[in-house]
Amino acid sequence: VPGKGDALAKAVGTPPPQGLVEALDEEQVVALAGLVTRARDSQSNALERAGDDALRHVPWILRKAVEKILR
Amino acid sequence: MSEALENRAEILKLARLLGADAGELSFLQAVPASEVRAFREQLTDALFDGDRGLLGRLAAGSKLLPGNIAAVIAQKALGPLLCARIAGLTDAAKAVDTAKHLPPAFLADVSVELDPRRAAEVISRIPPALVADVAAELTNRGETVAMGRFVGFVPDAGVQAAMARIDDPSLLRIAFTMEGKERLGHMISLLGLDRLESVMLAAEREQQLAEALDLLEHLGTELKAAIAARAVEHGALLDGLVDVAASDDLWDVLLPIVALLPPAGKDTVAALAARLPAAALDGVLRTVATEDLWTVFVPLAADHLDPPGRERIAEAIAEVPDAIVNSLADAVQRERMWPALLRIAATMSTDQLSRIADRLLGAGLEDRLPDMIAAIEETGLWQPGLVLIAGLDGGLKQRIAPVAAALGAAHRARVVAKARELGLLDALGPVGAALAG
Repeated sequence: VPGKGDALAKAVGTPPPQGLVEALDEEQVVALAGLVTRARDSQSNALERAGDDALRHVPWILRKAVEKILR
Repeated sequence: MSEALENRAEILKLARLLGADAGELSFLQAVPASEVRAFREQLTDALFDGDRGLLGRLAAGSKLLPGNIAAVIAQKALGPLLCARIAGLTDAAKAVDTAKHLPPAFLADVSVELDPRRAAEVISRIPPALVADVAAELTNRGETVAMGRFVGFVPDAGVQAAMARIDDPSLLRIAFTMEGKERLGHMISLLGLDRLESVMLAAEREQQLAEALDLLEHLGTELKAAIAARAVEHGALLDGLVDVAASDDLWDVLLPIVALLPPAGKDTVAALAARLPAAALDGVLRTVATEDLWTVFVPLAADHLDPPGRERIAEAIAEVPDAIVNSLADAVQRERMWPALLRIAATMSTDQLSRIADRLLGAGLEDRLPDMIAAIEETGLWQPGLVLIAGLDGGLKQRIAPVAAALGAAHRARVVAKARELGLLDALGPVGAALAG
């Protein structure tokens, strides 16, 4: 169904397997896309937090230079 | 692996990746497991391939540090998530050297965030004792899906060391979600029969019998037969396996195992199957036909059931669609199972036999008739055999009359005498005439 997998493709970043989209109704595709977005956001936040935590352990004098590498 | 079980395992793995509850993904139960798997792998790539540039720089930087210093930085500064993400980008020897200086609890944190495909070399080089410590930590946390994802990348020595620290129910769950299940049989063979028996009993206690069936399916024939024999000694376990095969439609997994059971076990399974409700029994026959498991099913029904049980199976066979009877007939002819089939047919009414006669004998009639007549003589089951022939429609009887006429004279005389004795000679029509010569 054209357009049915769009929300999921947007969440993942690439078109999802056609067989998966065909086997789900639109509501289920949207629900799955919601879970993917939540996982990606959670991972981005966790990575950002990990980066911040890592920086806190770097002596302040070097922090700017290290931050430049990390960001 | 059964499609239903594979789907269940894939949902568990996808839920773990999404940080969701498996219940939130229940709508994926109707999706082919291969599609869920393809999606999970795609999502893993999406989650792990972002930020590759930054992670690569971090990995390159860690190369310059001695293992003990890198370990301090990893634990105090980077944290488990960043470590997991750079593990696959770091030089494997350096990563292992660093890991040796890290506590198991931290390595467990890293493990759950790891994509094992990207860190396969690192995982394969971790010393067995450390693997075992991390496995014990992950077991305490209930992280069986995470372990299932990377256990396939751990060498035998590490697997053996880890399995000694993992409890039976967790071991079962790990096996269920294991990636690369082609290695599962070998890994379980490292456990030894006594531990495997203990795992199976835990499955019965914890009601993880679908997972137990999945594990059994992946064992080599010898180990499967050995554990099947022990299952007979534990009646509740065998009963439970039959129950779960019925409730979750896993007959395609159970029946090949049943073939390896000792006679007492076959008796038990056959008796339990014969007590299933009609719809479930119909489901068994459909699975048997789809998976071509007649070589297990026919002898089971013929030789391990009491007469009322055989009657129930016969009744079910008489009611199933043409395709299933055709599949049964093909298998009976191919595998020379006419004697066993006649023992089942002996419990059928004349009406039931007549209803399936055309479908059972129709295709390939010229080959099937001599084989069936030979089986009738071997078993002495003249009544059902002759009723089947009598039940054929007129055209088919006409077609096989020359085949009947070509049988040896003594052979024909015996058939005619028996048909006459049973009052079936007239009903045989042209076949009877051809036999009488």
